[in-house]
Amino acid sequence: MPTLEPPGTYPVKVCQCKGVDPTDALPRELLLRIFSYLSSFDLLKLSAVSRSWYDICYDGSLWHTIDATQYYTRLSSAQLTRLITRSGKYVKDLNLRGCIYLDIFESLGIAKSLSNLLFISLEGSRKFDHNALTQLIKNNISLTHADFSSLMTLTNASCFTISSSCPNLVSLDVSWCPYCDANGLIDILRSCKYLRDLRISGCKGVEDESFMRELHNSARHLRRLSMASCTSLTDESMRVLVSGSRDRILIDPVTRRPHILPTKIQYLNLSYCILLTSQTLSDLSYAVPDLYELELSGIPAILDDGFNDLIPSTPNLTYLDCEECSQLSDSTLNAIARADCGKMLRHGHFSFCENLTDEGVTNLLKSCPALKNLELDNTRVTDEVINVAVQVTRERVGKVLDTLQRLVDRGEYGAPQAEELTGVIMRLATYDCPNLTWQSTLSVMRRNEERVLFNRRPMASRKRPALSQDLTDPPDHAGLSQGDTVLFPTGFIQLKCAYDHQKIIDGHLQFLLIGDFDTAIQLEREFAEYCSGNPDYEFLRYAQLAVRPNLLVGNLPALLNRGGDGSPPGQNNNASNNFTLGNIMRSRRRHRRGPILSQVLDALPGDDPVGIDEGTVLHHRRRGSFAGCVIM
Amino acid sequence: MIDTEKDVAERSVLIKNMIEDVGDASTEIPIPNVTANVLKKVLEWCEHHKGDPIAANEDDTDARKKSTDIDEWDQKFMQVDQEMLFEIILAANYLDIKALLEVGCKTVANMIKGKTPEEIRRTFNIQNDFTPEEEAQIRRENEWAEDR
Repeated sequence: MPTLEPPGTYPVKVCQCKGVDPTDALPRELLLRIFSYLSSFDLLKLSAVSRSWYDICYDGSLWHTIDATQYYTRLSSAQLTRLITRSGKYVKDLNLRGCIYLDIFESLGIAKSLSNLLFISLEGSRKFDHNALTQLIKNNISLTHADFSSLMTLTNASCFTISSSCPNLVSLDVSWCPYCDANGLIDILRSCKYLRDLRISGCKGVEDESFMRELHNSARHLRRLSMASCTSLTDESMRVLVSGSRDRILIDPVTRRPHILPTKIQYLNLSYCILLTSQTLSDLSYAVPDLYELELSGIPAILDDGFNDLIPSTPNLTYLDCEECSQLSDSTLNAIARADCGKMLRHGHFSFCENLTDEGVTNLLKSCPALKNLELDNTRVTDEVINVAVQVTRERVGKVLDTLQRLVDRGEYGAPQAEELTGVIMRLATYDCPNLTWQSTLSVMRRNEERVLFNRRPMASRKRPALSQDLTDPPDHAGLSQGDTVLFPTGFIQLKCAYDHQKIIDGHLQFLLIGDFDTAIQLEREFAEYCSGNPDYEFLRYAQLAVRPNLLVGNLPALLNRGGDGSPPGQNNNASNNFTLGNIMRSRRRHRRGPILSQVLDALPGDDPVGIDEGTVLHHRRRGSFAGCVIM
Repeated sequence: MIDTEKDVAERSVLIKNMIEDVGDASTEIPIPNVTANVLKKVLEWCEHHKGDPIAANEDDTDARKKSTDIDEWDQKFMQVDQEMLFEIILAANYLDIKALLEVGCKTVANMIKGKTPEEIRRTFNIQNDFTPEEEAQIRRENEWAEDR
C-alpha cells in the first residue's frame, strides 16, 4: 500500500475573505480551460470585469471559431476587428456573414492578422475591401471551405489568387458576385483538384464552351454543383458539361444508354436557368447516377418527357424541387412513382404546378413510402389528396408500430419513451389551393387524433393483457412514461393550409404533442361545428378567387353570386380588400370565440405558420405558455 | 502521511507513474505541492470514482466544450469554498487526474456563466482596476450586453 506524505507548505495566496479571484489563484492554462466552457457571448461580456479578465477573455486560444453572426448586430465593427486581430493565428473558422459594416481599414487589419484559416464565410460583407480579400486569400493557403457569395469586391483577379494560393479548397461559394464570371472561375477549376462543392449561382458567362468543358473535367470530383439563376445557361452548354462536347450524345443501340462517363454529382441546382428545356434533363440521364437532390424550380420549358428520361437513371433521388415548372403534369409524378427513386423520395416540391391533378398526386403518395414532405400549394388538388395522405400516414405509422411492438414483445427493445413513439411523420403544404375545403383540414385533425394501442413491456413480463385496458378512460399520452399499456395518438400530419385555419391546426397539433388529448378533441369539435354551422363559410372560396381564379373548378357563377355585397373580386378595390381571408375569419372569430379557440390563438407565437416542431413544443412546455391547459 | 489503496491512488497519472518507477506499491510516495486537507479531498473523489473507466483523450472536442453538465455526486463534492475549489483544481492538474480537473473547471465555469461583470466581481471579490476612461469605453462597448 503506498503512503502519501504531504509537505507542510503550498504556495497559494491565502485570502481572508470568501471570494478568490480565479485569475490570481490559477495559472493561465487552467484559466483558459475553464473559460473554454463559456460562450462567446459570456467571454465578450466578462471582459469588462477587470484587466486580468479582459486579458483572458480575449486570449486567442479561446477563439478558434469566431461566428460573428451571433453577435455582430450588437458589436461595433471596431470591437469585432479587435477581437479578430487579437486572436489572429488561432482563428481557424471565421464567419463574418452579413457584417456589412467592416470598412477598408478594418478589413485590411483582419486580413493581415489571419493566416491559419480553414473555414471562412464573408457572405454579403459588401464593403470588405478588394485588396484585403486578396491578402486574406494569399495568407491562408490552407483554406478548405470558402463562402464569398454576394461580395462586390470579388473579381476575376481574386479568382486567380484563389487558384494560385488555395489548392486544397474543397468548397467554394461565389454565388451572386457581380464582378466575377466564368473567365475567373476557369482558373479555379483548373487548379483546385479537391473541389467537391461549387456554388456559382447568378454567375455570368457560364454558357462559354471552354468553361463548361473545364467544369466537365471537374465533374469527376464535384459532388455538389449549384448554378441557379445562371440565366444564360443553354441546353448546348449543359451538354458540354455532360459529355465534353456540343455534339449530340450518342445512344448505344443495344443498351439504349448514352455513351458518356457518369459524374459523381449528388446535388444539382439549376433553378431559374430560364433558357433550359427538357433537352437538358434528357441529356443528364445516366450522367448523374448518384444524384440525391435536384432543384429545378422556375424553368418554364421543362416538360414531362425530360423527367421521363431522367428519373429512371437516378435511383437515389430523395429531394426534388419543381416549383413553378408550370407545364409538368401527372406523367412526371407517375414516372417517379414507377422508378426506383420512388422508394427513396422524401421531399417533393410541386408548388404552382397547375397541371397536376389528384390522380398523379395520389399515385405519388401511395408509391413513395419515404415521402415526408410534399408541397402542393397553388395547385388544383382537392380534398381527395388529403384523404389519401391521411390513409397513407395511417398505414405507415401502423407498420412502424407493429414492427416496434414485435421487438418489444420479444424483449429486444426496452420500454420505449414517449418521444420515440410520437411525432410528425408527414408535412403537407396545401395553402392557396382553391379546391380544398375546410373538410380537408378537419380530416387531418381527425387523423392526428387517431390513437394506437401499444404495450411497452415484453409479452412475458406484462402485468395484464392489453384488452383489459379500459378503453373508455384511456391513459393519455402524457401518461406514457408510467403505464405498461398505452393508447396514444401518433404519426401526425403537419399541414400548412389556408391562412385562416393555420393557427387552429397548429394549436391542435401542439396539444396532441404535449399530450393534452382532451383539449385537442374539443378544439377539433369546435372547429367542425363552427365550419359546418356557417352556411356563409362557403364564401371563403369567394375570397380565394382573388388569389388564383384560374385554378378553381366547380360552380364559378354560383360562387360569384354569393359574395357579401355581390360584387366580383377585383372590380371594386374596396370590396376586394374587405374580402381577404384574414378579415373574414377575424370578424367571425369576434362573434364566437370558443374558450379553446381563443386560448390557441393567444398562446401561439405570432403568425409564423412554420414554427411548429417538437422543439417549439418543448419550449412552450418550459415556459408554460399554454395557459389553462395541462402541462406535463 | 495518508494511507490509501493502490487503485484509488492510481487515478492520478503522476502517482501511477511514480509507483511504476519505484516498482513497489507499498512504499511511501512523497507528494510535495499539495496540502494534507486538499489531498484528503482529492483522494475522497478518487475513492468514489475508482471504478470509472479512464476516459480516452478527447481534448478540445466540441462535445467537451459545449457541455458543462456535472453529475450529482460531483456537484455535491464540489460544494466547497472557492479557495478549496481552486486548490482541488491545482492538485488535480498537478497529480494529473483528468476527470477531476474537468469537473473542477466545469464547476468554476458554471459559477461564471451568465453573470454580469458586477456579479462576477462580487462573487470572486475582484477589484475593478480599469481607469475611469477605460471603464467608460468598455461600458459603452458592452451596452448591448445589459439587456440580455
